[in-house]
Amino acid sequence: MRHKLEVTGVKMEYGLRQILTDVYLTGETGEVVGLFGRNGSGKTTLLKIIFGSLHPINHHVTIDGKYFGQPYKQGNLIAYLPQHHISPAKMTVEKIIRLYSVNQAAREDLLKNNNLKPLLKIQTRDLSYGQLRYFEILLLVHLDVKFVLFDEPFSGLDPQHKELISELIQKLKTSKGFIITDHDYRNILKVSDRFVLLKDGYCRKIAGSKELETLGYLPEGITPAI
Amino acid sequence: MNARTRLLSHFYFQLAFIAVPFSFAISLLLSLTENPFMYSFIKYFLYFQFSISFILSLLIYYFFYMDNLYFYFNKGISIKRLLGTVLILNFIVWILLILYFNAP
Repeated sequence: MRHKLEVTGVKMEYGLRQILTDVYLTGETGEVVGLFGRNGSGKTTLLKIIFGSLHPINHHVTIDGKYFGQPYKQGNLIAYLPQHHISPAKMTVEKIIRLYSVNQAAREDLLKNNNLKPLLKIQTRDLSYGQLRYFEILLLVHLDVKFVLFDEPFSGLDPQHKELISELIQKLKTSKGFIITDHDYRNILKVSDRFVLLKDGYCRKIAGSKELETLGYLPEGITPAI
Repeated sequence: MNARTRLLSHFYFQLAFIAVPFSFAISLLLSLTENPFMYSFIKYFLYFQFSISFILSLLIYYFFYMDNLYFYFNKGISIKRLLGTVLILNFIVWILLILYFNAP
């Protein structure tokens, strides 16, 4: 069964500055939505509103037609990875996996992951930025949720880890829906099935990279045609 | 114990690392001016242990480690639930401390 996330009428302002005017965005399990937008366009704000940790002036979030004011409180609907690390600094990778995993299968899967095995006994504060980012992404995709929101998942990662994450998203999108935003537009173009540009407070559907140029997100003449 | 309960108890002990030394230091400062010293120290410690230190620690945590809270939010644990857990567990600790110090 495909699950559908629908966000309508999002309005948000910081002081006198209106960030989001009338946002409409949808996502489904089985697809990856790539969210583009220039700095300060409100991408992070929008993801936090969808997740439910930020309260806007107006918003309407439904999952499978049912309204949720703060979807994250259900515990099994939505996960969000912010731009910064979320793991407690003084805990080892192994302890976090044991503490966080929803079931035995997820725990075993994470503990047996070849990329995580050498890191299991290390405290998260001693991991590099990229290692910790990769670990947190793995941790979140193993949660029993229908939708995952990633805020700059590729930031600070080396090409090998970027490739691993792209493969992971492709593998897991059969059972989850993803909304991803990142300024690494090449990887977003590669992993996403659908593109959206957040500009002037609302979302526009984008057909491909050429349109990102036309609408001023990318400088002219630098994008591969997708 | 399920994952949520494990996380909540972890959060409480993490907070205790800030709160207990904090209330210890305040109690020590306040009791220095009083006589008898030990009696007033215990009195203040019990008081701060429950009323102020954990709440202040939670505020410190909220404002300085906000991003870490997404670790809990992703498991469906809200800030209200974190606060509720802190208050309930701390109330239990408070009662146990009072019973211990008033034991014959």
